[in-house]
Amino acid sequence: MKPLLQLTDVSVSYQPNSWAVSHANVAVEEGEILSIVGGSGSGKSTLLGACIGAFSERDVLVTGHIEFMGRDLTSLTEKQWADVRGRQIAMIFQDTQSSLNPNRRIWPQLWEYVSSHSNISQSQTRQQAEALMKSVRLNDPERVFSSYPFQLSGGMLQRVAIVMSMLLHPKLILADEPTSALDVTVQAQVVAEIRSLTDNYGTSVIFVTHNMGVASYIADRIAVMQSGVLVETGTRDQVILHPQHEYTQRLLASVPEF
Amino acid sequence: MEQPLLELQHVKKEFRVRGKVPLVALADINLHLDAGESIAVAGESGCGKSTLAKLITLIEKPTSGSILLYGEDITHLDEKARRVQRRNVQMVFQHPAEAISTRMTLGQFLKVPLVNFSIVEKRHMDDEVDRLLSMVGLPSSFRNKYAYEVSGGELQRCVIARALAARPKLILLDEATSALDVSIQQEILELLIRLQKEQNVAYIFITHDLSLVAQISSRLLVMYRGHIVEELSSCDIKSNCVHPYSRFLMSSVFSVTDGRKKPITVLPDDPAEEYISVGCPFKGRCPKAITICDTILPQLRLINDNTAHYAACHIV
Repeated sequence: MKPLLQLTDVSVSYQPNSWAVSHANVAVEEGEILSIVGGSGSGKSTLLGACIGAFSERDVLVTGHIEFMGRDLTSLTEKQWADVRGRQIAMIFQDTQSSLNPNRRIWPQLWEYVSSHSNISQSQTRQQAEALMKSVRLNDPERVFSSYPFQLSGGMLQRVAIVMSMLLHPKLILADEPTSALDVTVQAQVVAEIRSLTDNYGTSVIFVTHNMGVASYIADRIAVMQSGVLVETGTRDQVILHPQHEYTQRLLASVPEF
Repeated sequence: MEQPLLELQHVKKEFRVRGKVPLVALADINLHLDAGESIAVAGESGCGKSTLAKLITLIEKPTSGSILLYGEDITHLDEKARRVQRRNVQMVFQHPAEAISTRMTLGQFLKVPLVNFSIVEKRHMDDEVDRLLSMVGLPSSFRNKYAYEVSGGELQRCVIARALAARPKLILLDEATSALDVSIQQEILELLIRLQKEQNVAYIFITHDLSLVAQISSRLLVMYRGHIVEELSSCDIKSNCVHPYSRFLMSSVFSVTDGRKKPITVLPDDPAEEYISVGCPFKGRCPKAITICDTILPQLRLINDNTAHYAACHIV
Protein backbone atom coordinates (compact mmCIF):
# COMPACT_ATOMS: atom_id res chain seq x y z
CA MET A 1 0.00 0.00 0.00
CA LYS A 2 1.22 3.45 -0.90
CA PRO A 3 2.41 5.59 1.98
CA LEU A 4 0.37 8.67 2.90
CA LEU A 5 3.40 10.94 2.50
CA GLN A 6 6.58 10.13 0.62
CA LEU A 7 9.62 12.39 0.56
CA THR A 8 12.03 11.54 -2.23
CA ASP A 9 15.43 13.20 -2.42
CA VAL A 10 14.16 16.40 -0.78
CA SER A 11 16.65 19.20 -0.24
CA VAL A 12 16.02 22.70 1.08
CA SER A 13 18.38 25.62 0.81
CA TYR A 14 17.98 29.10 2.31
CA GLN A 15 21.31 30.40 1.06
CA PRO A 16 23.52 29.47 -1.88
CA ASN A 17 25.86 26.56 -1.17
CA SER A 18 24.24 25.73 2.12
CA TRP A 19 21.65 23.02 2.63
CA ALA A 20 19.35 22.99 5.62
CA VAL A 21 17.96 19.65 4.46
CA SER A 22 19.96 17.39 2.19
CA HIS A 23 18.55 14.50 0.12
CA ALA A 24 15.86 13.42 2.55
CA ASN A 25 14.08 10.16 1.82
CA VAL A 26 11.38 9.11 4.24
CA ALA A 27 7.75 7.98 4.21
CA VAL A 28 4.80 8.18 6.58
CA GLU A 29 2.11 5.53 6.40
CA GLU A 30 -1.55 6.01 7.16
CA GLY A 31 -2.40 5.77 10.81
CA GLU A 32 1.24 5.92 11.83
CA ILE A 33 3.44 8.22 13.92
CA LEU A 34 6.86 9.01 12.51
CA SER A 35 9.17 10.73 14.94
CA ILE A 36 12.00 12.84 13.55
CA VAL A 37 14.69 13.16 16.18
CA GLY A 38 17.63 15.51 16.09
CA GLY A 39 19.25 18.45 17.85
CA SER A 40 18.84 22.18 17.21
CA GLY A 41 19.85 23.14 13.74
CA SER A 42 19.47 19.62 12.41
CA GLY A 43 16.92 20.74 9.82
CA LYS A 44 13.89 19.00 11.27
CA SER A 45 11.72 22.14 11.40
CA THR A 46 12.75 22.97 7.84
CA LEU A 47 11.71 19.48 6.76
CA LEU A 48 8.28 20.04 8.31
CA GLY A 49 8.11 23.43 6.67
CA ALA A 50 8.55 21.85 3.26
CA CYS A 51 5.62 19.53 4.05
CA ILE A 52 3.27 22.41 4.88
CA GLY A 53 4.32 24.67 2.02
CA ALA A 54 6.13 27.19 4.18
CA PHE A 55 8.47 27.89 1.29
CA SER A 56 6.03 28.03 -1.59
CA GLU A 57 6.48 31.15 -3.68
CA ARG A 58 9.33 32.30 -1.44
CA ASP A 59 13.02 32.70 -1.99
CA VAL A 60 13.89 29.25 -0.64
CA LEU A 61 15.04 26.43 -2.89
CA VAL A 62 13.21 23.13 -2.47
CA THR A 63 14.19 20.21 -4.69
CA GLY A 64 13.01 16.65 -4.86
CA HIS A 65 9.45 15.37 -4.49
CA ILE A 66 6.94 15.24 -1.68
CA GLU A 67 4.10 12.97 -2.71
CA PHE A 68 0.90 13.26 -0.72
CA MET A 69 -2.39 11.71 -1.77
CA GLY A 70 -1.48 11.69 -5.43
CA ARG A 71 -0.04 15.22 -5.61
CA ASP A 72 3.51 16.50 -5.54
CA LEU A 73 3.51 19.14 -2.84
CA THR A 74 6.74 20.73 -4.09
CA SER A 75 4.94 21.92 -7.22
CA LEU A 76 1.86 23.46 -5.60
CA THR A 77 1.08 27.14 -5.90
CA GLU A 78 -0.01 29.15 -2.86
CA LYS A 79 -3.57 28.95 -4.10
CA GLN A 80 -3.39 25.16 -4.26
CA TRP A 81 -1.79 25.02 -0.82
CA ALA A 82 -4.82 26.78 0.67
CA ASP A 83 -6.78 23.59 -0.06
CA VAL A 84 -4.25 21.37 1.61
CA ARG A 85 -3.31 23.27 4.72
CA GLY A 86 -5.66 22.67 7.61
CA ARG A 87 -7.88 20.27 5.72
CA GLN A 88 -5.36 17.64 4.67
CA ILE A 89 -2.25 18.59 6.60
CA ALA A 90 -2.33 20.57 9.85
CA MET A 91 0.45 21.81 12.10
CA ILE A 92 1.12 22.22 15.81
CA PHE A 93 4.02 24.31 17.05
CA GLN A 94 6.23 24.28 20.13
CA ASP A 95 5.21 27.80 20.94
CA THR A 96 1.43 28.03 21.21
CA GLN A 97 1.62 31.69 20.40
CA SER A 98 2.23 30.63 16.83
CA SER A 99 -1.24 29.09 16.69
CA LEU A 100 -3.33 31.42 18.80
CA ASN A 101 -3.92 35.16 18.78
CA PRO A 102 -3.42 36.52 22.31
CA ASN A 103 -5.98 39.26 21.73
CA ARG A 104 -8.95 37.05 20.98
CA ARG A 105 -10.87 34.47 22.90
CA ILE A 106 -10.50 30.82 21.95
CA TRP A 107 -13.89 30.13 20.36
CA PRO A 108 -13.75 32.86 17.69
CA GLN A 109 -10.31 31.61 16.70
CA LEU A 110 -11.48 27.99 16.38
CA TRP A 111 -14.49 29.13 14.38
CA GLU A 112 -12.39 31.31 12.09
CA TYR A 113 -10.06 28.38 11.44
CA VAL A 114 -12.91 26.08 10.49
CA SER A 115 -15.03 28.57 8.55
CA SER A 116 -12.14 29.77 6.43
CA HIS A 117 -11.37 26.24 5.27
CA SER A 118 -14.77 24.57 5.01
CA ASN A 119 -18.56 24.80 4.96
CA ILE A 120 -19.08 23.07 8.28
CA SER A 121 -21.78 24.83 10.33
CA GLN A 122 -21.09 26.64 13.57
CA SER A 123 -23.17 24.29 15.65
CA GLN A 124 -21.46 21.24 14.21
CA THR A 125 -18.07 22.82 14.77
CA ARG A 126 -19.02 23.55 18.35
CA GLN A 127 -20.13 19.99 18.90
CA GLN A 128 -16.97 18.52 17.41
CA ALA A 129 -14.77 20.94 19.32
CA GLU A 130 -16.45 19.93 22.57
CA ALA A 131 -15.98 16.24 21.86
CA LEU A 132 -12.34 16.75 20.92
CA MET A 133 -11.73 18.86 24.00
CA LYS A 134 -13.09 16.16 26.24
CA SER A 135 -10.85 13.60 24.55
CA VAL A 136 -7.80 15.69 25.47
CA ARG A 137 -9.14 16.16 28.99
CA LEU A 138 -10.24 19.76 28.69
CA ASN A 139 -13.34 18.92 30.66
CA ASP A 140 -14.90 22.37 30.74
CA PRO A 141 -15.05 23.29 27.03
CA GLU A 142 -17.34 26.30 27.62
CA ARG A 143 -14.81 27.83 29.93
CA VAL A 144 -12.01 27.27 27.43
CA PHE A 145 -14.07 28.71 24.53
CA SER A 146 -14.66 31.93 26.39
CA SER A 147 -11.08 32.33 27.67
CA TYR A 148 -8.24 34.36 26.28
CA PRO A 149 -5.00 32.45 25.77
CA PHE A 150 -3.34 34.16 28.74
CA GLN A 151 -5.98 32.67 31.01
CA LEU A 152 -4.97 29.14 30.16
CA SER A 153 -1.85 27.24 31.14
CA GLY A 154 0.76 26.07 28.62
CA GLY A 155 -0.56 22.54 28.69
CA MET A 156 -4.12 23.67 28.12
CA LEU A 157 -3.07 25.91 25.23
CA GLN A 158 -1.26 23.08 23.56
CA ARG A 159 -4.35 20.93 23.90
CA VAL A 160 -6.38 23.72 22.30
CA ALA A 161 -3.86 23.72 19.45
CA ILE A 162 -4.36 19.96 19.11
CA VAL A 163 -8.15 20.36 19.07
CA MET A 164 -7.91 23.10 16.47
CA SER A 165 -5.66 21.02 14.25
CA MET A 166 -8.08 18.08 14.41
CA LEU A 167 -11.26 20.05 13.66
CA LEU A 168 -10.91 19.66 9.91
CA HIS A 169 -10.01 15.97 10.17
CA PRO A 170 -6.66 16.18 8.41
CA LYS A 171 -4.96 12.97 7.34
CA LEU A 172 -1.64 14.22 8.64
CA ILE A 173 -0.56 16.43 11.53
CA LEU A 174 2.92 17.94 11.66
CA ALA A 175 3.94 18.48 15.28
CA ASP A 176 7.10 20.53 15.79
CA GLU A 177 8.34 19.81 19.34
CA PRO A 178 4.83 20.37 20.70
CA THR A 179 5.71 19.34 24.24
CA SER A 180 9.27 20.59 24.67
CA ALA A 181 8.21 23.80 26.37
CA LEU A 182 5.82 22.11 28.81
CA ASP A 183 6.38 20.93 32.37
CA VAL A 184 7.34 17.30 32.54
CA THR A 185 4.05 15.91 33.89
CA VAL A 186 2.05 17.95 31.38
CA GLN A 187 4.37 16.80 28.63
CA ALA A 188 3.77 13.18 29.49
CA GLN A 189 0.02 13.62 29.30
CA VAL A 190 0.03 15.60 26.05
CA VAL A 191 2.34 13.05 24.41
CA ALA A 192 -0.10 10.32 25.43
CA GLU A 193 -3.00 12.37 24.05
CA ILE A 194 -1.29 12.81 20.69
CA ARG A 195 -0.67 9.07 20.52
CA SER A 196 -4.34 8.43 21.20
CA LEU A 197 -5.31 10.73 18.28
CA THR A 198 -3.61 8.28 15.97
CA ASP A 199 -4.99 5.24 17.77
CA ASN A 200 -8.57 6.54 17.84
CA TYR A 201 -8.89 8.61 14.67
CA GLY A 202 -6.22 7.11 12.42
CA THR A 203 -4.54 10.49 11.91
CA SER A 204 -0.88 10.20 10.93
CA VAL A 205 1.56 12.38 12.81
CA ILE A 206 5.11 13.51 12.16
CA PHE A 207 6.34 14.27 15.68
CA VAL A 208 9.58 16.24 15.81
CA THR A 209 11.56 16.08 19.05
CA HIS A 210 15.09 16.20 20.41
CA ASN A 211 14.24 13.66 23.10
CA MET A 212 14.73 10.00 22.24
CA GLY A 213 12.74 8.98 25.30
CA VAL A 214 9.64 10.70 23.93
CA ALA A 215 10.26 9.29 20.45
CA SER A 216 10.62 5.82 21.95
CA TYR A 217 7.19 6.10 23.51
CA ILE A 218 5.20 7.76 20.76
CA ALA A 219 6.64 6.58 17.48
CA ASP A 220 5.92 3.69 15.19
CA ARG A 221 8.92 4.70 13.10
CA ILE A 222 11.86 6.95 13.85
CA ALA A 223 14.08 9.02 11.56
CA VAL A 224 17.26 10.51 13.02
CA MET A 225 18.45 13.81 11.59
CA GLN A 226 21.85 15.42 11.84
CA SER A 227 22.96 18.59 10.04
CA GLY A 228 20.25 18.32 7.42
CA VAL A 229 20.75 14.63 6.70
CA LEU A 230 18.53 11.74 7.72
CA VAL A 231 21.26 9.46 9.03
CA GLU A 232 19.08 6.57 10.12
CA THR A 233 15.46 5.52 9.67
CA GLY A 234 13.63 2.43 10.79
CA THR A 235 10.89 1.07 12.98
CA ARG A 236 10.89 2.25 16.56
CA ASP A 237 12.32 -1.06 17.74
CA GLN A 238 15.00 -1.11 15.08
CA VAL A 239 16.29 2.36 15.92
CA ILE A 240 15.96 2.12 19.70
CA LEU A 241 17.22 -1.43 20.16
CA HIS A 242 19.64 -1.79 17.23
CA PRO A 243 20.91 1.69 16.36
CA GLN A 244 23.35 1.61 13.48
CA HIS A 245 24.58 5.16 13.12
CA GLU A 246 27.01 6.73 15.58
CA TYR A 247 24.84 9.81 16.04
CA THR A 248 21.80 7.69 16.88
CA GLN A 249 23.83 5.85 19.46
CA ARG A 250 24.99 9.15 20.92
CA LEU A 251 21.41 10.46 21.16
CA LEU A 252 20.34 7.27 22.90
CA ALA A 253 23.25 7.46 25.31
CA SER A 254 22.43 11.03 26.27
CA VAL A 255 19.01 10.18 27.69
CA PRO A 256 19.83 9.68 31.36
CA GLU A 257 18.94 6.33 32.89
CA PHE A 258 15.96 6.57 35.11
CA MET B 1 30.72 21.89 63.97
CA GLU B 2 30.98 24.01 60.89
CA GLN B 3 28.23 26.48 60.07
CA PRO B 4 26.06 25.49 57.13
CA LEU B 5 26.79 27.63 54.10
CA LEU B 6 23.16 28.58 53.62
CA GLU B 7 20.11 28.30 55.83
CA LEU B 8 16.53 29.27 55.20
CA GLN B 9 14.36 29.34 58.31
CA HIS B 10 10.59 29.50 58.01
CA VAL B 11 10.86 31.56 54.88
CA LYS B 12 7.58 32.80 53.49
CA LYS B 13 7.02 34.91 50.39
CA GLU B 14 3.70 36.44 49.63
CA PHE B 15 2.66 38.67 46.77
CA ARG B 16 -0.14 41.05 47.50
CA VAL B 17 -2.49 42.10 44.73
CA ARG B 18 -5.05 44.74 45.56
CA GLY B 19 -8.53 43.38 45.97
CA LYS B 20 -7.46 39.77 45.86
CA VAL B 21 -6.28 37.12 48.27
CA PRO B 22 -2.48 37.34 48.55
CA LEU B 23 -0.61 34.80 46.47
CA VAL B 24 1.59 32.71 48.72
CA ALA B 25 4.49 31.72 46.51
CA LEU B 26 6.44 30.11 49.35
CA ALA B 27 4.63 28.92 52.45
CA ASP B 28 7.17 27.85 55.07
CA ILE B 29 10.52 26.90 53.62
CA ASN B 30 13.29 25.41 55.72
CA LEU B 31 16.49 24.44 54.01
CA HIS B 32 20.16 24.05 54.83
CA LEU B 33 23.12 23.57 52.59
CA ASP B 34 26.71 22.82 53.60
CA ALA B 35 29.79 24.13 51.80
CA GLY B 36 30.51 22.17 48.63
CA GLU B 37 27.21 20.32 48.86
CA SER B 38 24.81 20.00 45.98
CA ILE B 39 21.05 19.82 46.34
CA ALA B 40 18.34 19.58 43.72
CA VAL B 41 14.97 21.26 43.92
CA ALA B 42 12.36 19.65 41.72
CA GLY B 43 8.96 20.99 40.83
CA GLU B 44 6.89 22.35 38.00
CA SER B 45 5.45 25.75 37.13
CA GLY B 46 3.87 27.39 40.12
CA CYS B 47 5.73 25.43 42.78
CA GLY B 48 7.69 28.48 43.94
CA LYS B 49 11.14 27.44 42.75
CA SER B 50 11.78 30.66 40.83
CA THR B 51 10.72 32.69 43.83
CA LEU B 52 13.03 30.57 45.96
CA ALA B 53 15.84 31.29 43.49
CA LYS B 54 15.20 35.03 43.73
CA LEU B 55 15.31 34.96 47.51
CA ILE B 56 18.50 32.92 47.68
CA THR B 57 20.24 35.12 45.12
CA LEU B 58 19.13 38.20 47.08
CA ILE B 59 17.11 39.65 44.26
CA GLU B 60 14.06 39.76 46.52
CA LYS B 61 13.42 39.68 50.25
CA PRO B 62 11.16 37.19 52.03
CA THR B 63 7.88 38.37 53.56
CA SER B 64 8.90 36.65 56.78
CA GLY B 65 11.55 34.18 57.98
CA SER B 66 15.34 34.36 57.79
CA ILE B 67 18.12 33.65 55.36
CA LEU B 68 21.56 33.01 56.81
CA LEU B 69 24.88 32.79 55.01
CA TYR B 70 27.54 31.10 57.16
CA GLY B 71 25.40 31.86 60.18
CA GLU B 72 25.11 35.56 59.36
CA ASP B 73 21.58 36.89 58.91
CA ILE B 74 21.41 38.44 55.45
CA THR B 75 17.62 38.72 55.28
CA HIS B 76 17.30 42.47 55.82
CA LEU B 77 20.45 43.85 54.28
CA ASP B 78 20.23 47.10 52.37
CA GLU B 79 20.99 47.16 48.65
CA LYS B 80 24.63 48.09 49.13
CA ALA B 81 25.30 45.21 51.49
CA ARG B 82 23.37 42.82 49.24
CA ARG B 83 25.54 43.72 46.33
CA VAL B 84 28.56 42.69 48.35
CA GLN B 85 26.95 39.39 49.34
CA ARG B 86 25.98 38.59 45.78
CA ARG B 87 29.59 37.72 45.16
CA ASN B 88 29.00 34.62 47.26
CA VAL B 89 25.83 33.52 45.52
CA GLN B 90 25.87 33.47 41.75
CA MET B 91 23.29 32.17 39.33
CA VAL B 92 22.76 30.47 35.99
CA PHE B 93 19.32 30.65 34.43
CA GLN B 94 17.53 28.71 31.73
CA HIS B 95 17.98 30.89 28.67
CA PRO B 96 21.59 31.90 28.16
CA ALA B 97 20.70 34.45 25.49
CA GLU B 98 18.80 36.41 28.12
CA ALA B 99 21.86 36.69 30.33
CA ILE B 100 24.10 38.27 27.74
CA SER B 101 23.73 41.64 26.07
CA THR B 102 23.82 41.24 22.30
CA ARG B 103 26.21 44.17 22.14
CA MET B 104 28.89 42.68 24.33
CA THR B 105 31.57 40.31 23.26
CA LEU B 106 31.80 37.18 25.39
CA GLY B 107 35.09 38.50 26.76
CA GLN B 108 33.42 41.71 27.90
CA PHE B 109 30.62 39.66 29.40
CA LEU B 110 33.07 37.65 31.48
CA LYS B 111 34.86 40.77 32.63
CA VAL B 112 31.75 42.29 34.23
CA PRO B 113 31.98 40.39 37.54
CA LEU B 114 35.77 40.67 37.48
CA VAL B 115 35.36 44.45 37.49
CA ASN B 116 32.34 44.62 39.81
CA PHE B 117 33.91 42.56 42.51
CA SER B 118 37.53 43.58 41.85
CA ILE B 119 38.54 39.99 41.45
CA VAL B 120 41.82 40.63 39.65
CA GLU B 121 43.81 43.67 38.65
CA LYS B 122 43.15 45.25 35.29
CA ARG B 123 46.38 43.99 33.77
CA HIS B 124 45.46 40.38 34.59
CA MET B 125 41.92 40.51 33.25
CA ASP B 126 42.56 39.06 29.82
CA ASP B 127 44.43 36.16 31.36
CA GLU B 128 41.63 35.59 33.83
CA VAL B 129 39.08 35.58 31.00
CA ASP B 130 41.15 32.95 29.20
CA ARG B 131 41.36 30.91 32.36
CA LEU B 132 37.58 31.04 32.83
CA LEU B 133 36.95 30.06 29.22
CA SER B 134 39.27 27.10 29.47
CA MET B 135 37.59 26.03 32.72
CA VAL B 136 34.40 25.56 30.77
CA GLY B 137 36.09 23.94 27.80
CA LEU B 138 36.06 26.90 25.42
CA PRO B 139 39.00 28.30 23.45
CA SER B 140 40.29 31.81 24.13
CA SER B 141 39.11 32.88 20.67
CA PHE B 142 35.64 33.06 22.20
CA ARG B 143 36.72 36.26 23.89
CA ASN B 144 36.01 38.18 20.71
CA LYS B 145 32.82 36.44 19.67
CA TYR B 146 29.29 37.73 20.11
CA ALA B 147 26.41 35.73 21.50
CA TYR B 148 24.73 35.21 18.14
CA GLU B 149 27.86 33.57 16.75
CA VAL B 150 27.89 30.64 19.15
CA SER B 151 25.52 27.78 19.93
CA GLY B 152 23.12 27.54 22.88
CA GLY B 153 25.34 25.06 24.66
CA GLU B 154 28.44 27.22 24.18
CA LEU B 155 26.57 30.25 25.45
CA GLN B 156 25.47 28.39 28.55
CA ARG B 157 29.08 27.45 29.18
CA CYS B 158 29.93 31.18 29.10
CA VAL B 159 27.17 31.90 31.58
CA ILE B 160 28.59 29.22 33.86
CA ALA B 161 32.06 30.72 33.44
CA ARG B 162 30.70 34.09 34.43
CA ALA B 163 29.07 32.60 37.51
CA LEU B 164 32.43 31.16 38.49
CA ALA B 165 34.28 34.43 37.82
CA ALA B 166 33.22 35.87 41.17
CA ARG B 167 34.56 32.75 42.92
CA PRO B 168 31.25 32.20 44.65
CA LYS B 169 30.49 29.81 47.48
CA LEU B 170 27.20 28.85 45.91
CA ILE B 171 25.81 28.74 42.41
CA LEU B 172 22.09 28.54 41.93
CA LEU B 173 21.14 26.93 38.63
CA ASP B 174 17.52 27.44 37.62
CA GLU B 175 16.62 24.98 34.85
CA ALA B 176 20.11 25.58 33.51
CA THR B 177 19.98 22.67 31.07
CA SER B 178 16.26 22.63 30.19
CA ALA B 179 16.53 24.74 27.06
CA LEU B 180 19.37 22.70 25.64
CA ASP B 181 19.19 19.65 23.45
CA VAL B 182 19.37 16.38 25.32
CA SER B 183 22.88 15.55 24.10
CA ILE B 184 24.17 18.99 25.08
CA GLN B 185 22.43 18.76 28.45
CA GLN B 186 24.54 15.80 29.34
CA GLU B 187 27.75 17.62 28.39
CA ILE B 188 26.82 20.61 30.52
CA LEU B 189 25.93 18.41 33.47
CA GLU B 190 29.29 16.68 33.26
CA LEU B 191 30.99 20.06 33.12
CA LEU B 192 29.12 21.21 36.23
CA ILE B 193 30.04 18.06 38.12
CA ARG B 194 33.71 18.44 37.24
CA LEU B 195 33.74 22.11 38.18
CA GLN B 196 32.19 21.40 41.54
CA LYS B 197 34.97 19.01 42.43
CA GLU B 198 37.63 21.42 41.22
CA GLN B 199 36.23 24.57 42.83
CA ASN B 200 34.43 23.11 45.87
CA VAL B 201 31.40 25.27 45.12
CA ALA B 202 27.92 24.36 46.37
CA TYR B 203 25.02 24.00 43.95
CA ILE B 204 21.32 24.43 44.20
CA PHE B 205 20.04 22.82 41.04
CA ILE B 206 16.43 23.61 40.20
CA THR B 207 14.89 21.31 37.65
CA HIS B 208 11.64 19.67 36.66
CA ASP B 209 13.54 16.80 35.07
CA LEU B 210 14.13 14.13 37.67
CA SER B 211 16.39 12.02 35.51
CA LEU B 212 19.15 14.58 36.07
CA VAL B 213 18.92 14.72 39.85
CA ALA B 214 21.02 11.70 40.80
CA GLN B 215 23.95 12.91 38.72
CA ILE B 216 24.06 16.45 39.99
CA SER B 217 23.03 16.32 43.64
CA SER B 218 23.23 14.40 46.89
CA ARG B 219 19.78 15.46 48.14
CA LEU B 220 16.48 16.25 46.49
CA LEU B 221 13.72 18.58 47.64
CA VAL B 222 10.40 18.21 45.85
CA MET B 223 8.24 21.32 45.79
CA TYR B 224 4.58 21.75 45.06
CA ARG B 225 2.69 25.04 45.16
CA GLY B 226 4.91 26.79 47.63
CA HIS B 227 5.59 23.81 49.88
CA ILE B 228 8.41 21.33 50.21
CA VAL B 229 6.51 18.06 50.06
CA GLU B 230 9.42 15.64 50.21
CA GLU B 231 13.13 15.67 51.00
CA LEU B 232 15.37 12.66 50.48
CA SER B 233 18.74 11.43 49.32
CA SER B 234 19.23 11.60 45.55
CA CYS B 235 20.24 7.95 45.28
CA ASP B 236 17.51 5.87 43.82
CA ILE B 237 14.75 8.45 44.16
CA LYS B 238 12.61 6.44 41.80
CA SER B 239 12.19 3.62 44.32
CA ASN B 240 12.36 5.64 47.52
CA CYS B 241 10.12 8.63 47.04
CA VAL B 242 6.74 8.26 48.67
CA HIS B 243 4.76 11.47 48.29
CA PRO B 244 2.02 11.03 45.67
CA TYR B 245 3.17 14.18 43.83
CA SER B 246 6.79 12.97 43.78
CA ARG B 247 5.62 9.65 42.39
CA PHE B 248 3.60 11.47 39.74
CA LEU B 249 6.70 13.46 38.79
CA MET B 250 8.80 10.28 38.63
CA SER B 251 6.31 8.51 36.41
CA SER B 252 6.40 11.32 33.85
CA VAL B 253 9.97 10.74 32.75
CA PHE B 254 10.30 9.02 29.38
CA SER B 255 13.19 6.64 29.38
CA VAL B 256 14.35 5.05 26.18
CA THR B 257 13.53 1.52 27.26
CA ASP B 258 9.91 1.95 28.40
CA GLY B 259 8.28 2.28 25.03
CA ARG B 260 4.53 2.22 24.55
CA LYS B 261 3.93 -0.11 27.48
CA LYS B 262 4.77 2.74 29.85
CA PRO B 263 1.58 3.71 31.65
CA ILE B 264 1.02 7.45 31.68
CA THR B 265 -0.49 8.66 34.93
CA VAL B 266 -3.38 10.95 34.25
CA LEU B 267 -4.41 13.39 36.95
CA PRO B 268 -6.80 16.35 36.89
CA ASP B 269 -5.19 19.60 35.85
CA ASP B 270 -3.61 21.92 38.35
CA PRO B 271 -6.22 24.49 39.44
CA ALA B 272 -3.68 27.21 38.85
CA GLU B 273 -5.53 30.36 39.81
CA GLU B 274 -6.84 29.26 43.17
CA TYR B 275 -4.51 29.42 46.10
CA ILE B 276 -5.17 26.45 48.32
CA SER B 277 -5.12 27.91 51.80
CA VAL B 278 -6.51 24.97 53.72
CA GLY B 279 -5.41 21.35 53.77
CA CYS B 280 -2.86 19.73 51.50
CA PRO B 281 -1.97 21.71 48.34
CA PHE B 282 -2.13 18.50 46.28
CA LYS B 283 -5.53 17.40 47.55
CA GLY B 284 -7.55 18.20 44.40
CA ARG B 285 -5.37 16.01 42.23
CA CYS B 286 -4.09 13.34 44.56
CA PRO B 287 -5.27 9.82 43.75
CA LYS B 288 -4.84 8.84 47.41
CA ALA B 289 -6.42 11.81 49.16
CA ILE B 290 -8.46 11.07 52.28
CA THR B 291 -10.78 13.32 54.30
CA ILE B 292 -8.11 14.79 56.53
CA CYS B 293 -6.22 16.04 53.46
CA ASP B 294 -9.02 18.55 52.86
CA THR B 295 -8.57 20.40 56.10
CA ILE B 296 -5.19 19.78 57.69
CA LEU B 297 -1.93 20.82 56.00
CA PRO B 298 0.48 17.88 56.37
CA GLN B 299 3.82 18.87 57.92
CA LEU B 300 7.17 17.57 56.75
CA ARG B 301 8.06 14.71 59.05
CA LEU B 302 10.86 12.20 59.23
CA ILE B 303 9.93 8.88 57.71
CA ASN B 304 13.34 7.27 57.58
CA ASP B 305 15.93 8.17 60.16
CA ASN B 306 18.82 6.41 58.41
CA THR B 307 18.48 8.36 55.22
CA ALA B 308 17.07 11.66 56.51
CA HIS B 309 13.99 11.17 54.38
CA TYR B 310 11.11 13.58 55.07
CA ALA B 311 7.64 13.72 53.55
CA ALA B 312 4.61 15.96 54.07
CA CYS B 313 1.71 13.59 53.57
CA HIS B 314 -1.05 12.15 55.74
CA ILE B 315 -1.03 8.72 54.20
CA VAL B 316 2.65 7.72 54.23
